[in-house]
Amino acid sequence: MQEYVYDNPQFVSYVNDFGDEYHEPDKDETWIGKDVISQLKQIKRRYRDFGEYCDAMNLINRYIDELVYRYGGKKRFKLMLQLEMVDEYLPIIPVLKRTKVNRQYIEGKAVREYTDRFDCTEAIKRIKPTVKFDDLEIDYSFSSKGFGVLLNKMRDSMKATNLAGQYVAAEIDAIESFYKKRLKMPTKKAKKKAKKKILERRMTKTDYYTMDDRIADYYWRKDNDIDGDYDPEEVINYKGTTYRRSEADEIETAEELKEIGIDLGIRQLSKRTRKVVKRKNKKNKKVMKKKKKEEKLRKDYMKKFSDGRYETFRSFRKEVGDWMSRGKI
Amino acid sequence: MAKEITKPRHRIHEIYSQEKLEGLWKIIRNPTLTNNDMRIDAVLDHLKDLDVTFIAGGTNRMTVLIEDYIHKIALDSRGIRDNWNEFNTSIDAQPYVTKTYESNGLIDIAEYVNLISREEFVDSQEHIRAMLEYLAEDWLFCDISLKAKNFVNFGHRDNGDIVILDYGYLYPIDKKIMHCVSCGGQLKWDSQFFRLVCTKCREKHDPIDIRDRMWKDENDFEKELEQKKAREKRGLVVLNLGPKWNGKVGK
Repeated sequence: MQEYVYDNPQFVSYVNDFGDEYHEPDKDETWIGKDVISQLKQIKRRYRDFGEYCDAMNLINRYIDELVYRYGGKKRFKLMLQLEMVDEYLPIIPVLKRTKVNRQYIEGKAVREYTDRFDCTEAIKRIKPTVKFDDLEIDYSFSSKGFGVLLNKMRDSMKATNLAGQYVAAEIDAIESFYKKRLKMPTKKAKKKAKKKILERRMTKTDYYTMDDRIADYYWRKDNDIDGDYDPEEVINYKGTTYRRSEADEIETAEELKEIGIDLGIRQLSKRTRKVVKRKNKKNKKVMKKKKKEEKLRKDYMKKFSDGRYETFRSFRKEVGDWMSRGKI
Repeated sequence: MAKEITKPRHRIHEIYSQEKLEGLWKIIRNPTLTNNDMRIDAVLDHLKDLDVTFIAGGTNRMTVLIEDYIHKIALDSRGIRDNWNEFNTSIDAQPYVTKTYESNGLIDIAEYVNLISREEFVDSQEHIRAMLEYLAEDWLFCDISLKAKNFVNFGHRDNGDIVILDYGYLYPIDKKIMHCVSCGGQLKWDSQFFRLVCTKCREKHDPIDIRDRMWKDENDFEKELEQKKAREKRGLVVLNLGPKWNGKVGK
């Protein structure tokens, strides 16, 4: 940043440091333009004049439109706000002073029109970063806890590498589409609904049912497997253990993610699957313990039987076989 | 957690050229500008090519908004004194006052907070009282009281913390000076933190007078007190015209 040098020492300034962003360089403004940011920084916190208030709110809402587009949607943007991963400048949302004249605007809901028009203005009002995923109503297919773990890991690694917050949104998109493809298989209820939808589309069409529409329906049905045999409650054998199909899907997805380097552990699975996995692990542990005990008994027996000369019966049999072949027995 | 600064920013040096500062200095010393409104208009006209939003004008200073920070521009020598005082006390008086980041006397750069309305001020009386009781242990303040007219001196941060906006009259206290001039009794704040009252003779004292006494040489003050006590012993009636005067009437 360019600084003027003063000949007059009386003009030289002194600074305090409060550990906040005063001494940090300005944020990157190239994506929107310095003029817009300069205008936003001139917005007051309180306006007496309704006209000036409207001008300020219009400017803010236009800027928020741009921000939301940059982050890939309102939901994403609000999530990034909650996680404090919005690197761009966040404007102050002004209030209208409650004078006699302005009361009519405040009580007549003219002011609410501005704040309600884009509910992200509320989100920008410096909400405390305590993320509750259920409150955000995010439609993610995997468990909210798993999603939380994923986001925390991503945030830490993103911050460490100084990547921009908007890239986190793209990463979440990628994970979400992965999960959607793998896990969102229709239940019986969803299949029924889907069939009804297609029938409705056919029935309500007064015009000719075009080839394009028929082909689109065909691919839609194929992708969503509404005529298929997928039953999430079906019991199957997955890697030697019995699971329900939906549970096996989750476990398989977790393993596939682990292969590509995203290891979220057991927390990413749904509660039901986690219980099943823990139960199976416990059972396997018991089985393994029993096998180990038997193996130990076998070894101890061989040692006693052979006075410590042979570890296993196989080695004893081999040697006897050798002797027999050499004619020693 | 506080971030370690590698190189501090001097935003005054980034925004104001030497010519701009010299122009402001001229406005302060211009004898033809006889009242504050004239000076404020002159300053705004002088700074019109910067992105400046006028916020408020006070007795000795005016405030403008530049790039999300409040700039307090001195309009006279008292304004310069207030600017330095705020800069020097800002760190120690946290979190009860706004942060003053930078100063050269002529201009202070401070944080921009929300103004408090009269209703909010009345609703927050207990909170503000607790804050002033805490500050009163180590600080002497003027124009910062619980009287409704003083609501303009308070604001709140986005996280709800109530802060004092104008603390040019906030001074570290010298407890040796906090005695009544008449009887030597201890001084205490009244319930509104508006005046200091002697616990013995109930005489009221303006905090400004206490401040002036603090600024005098400590030795001078003790000497005066001794002389006063000596006069009283000889039966002379002391006419108290204020801390700077000790007239005598009688024998």
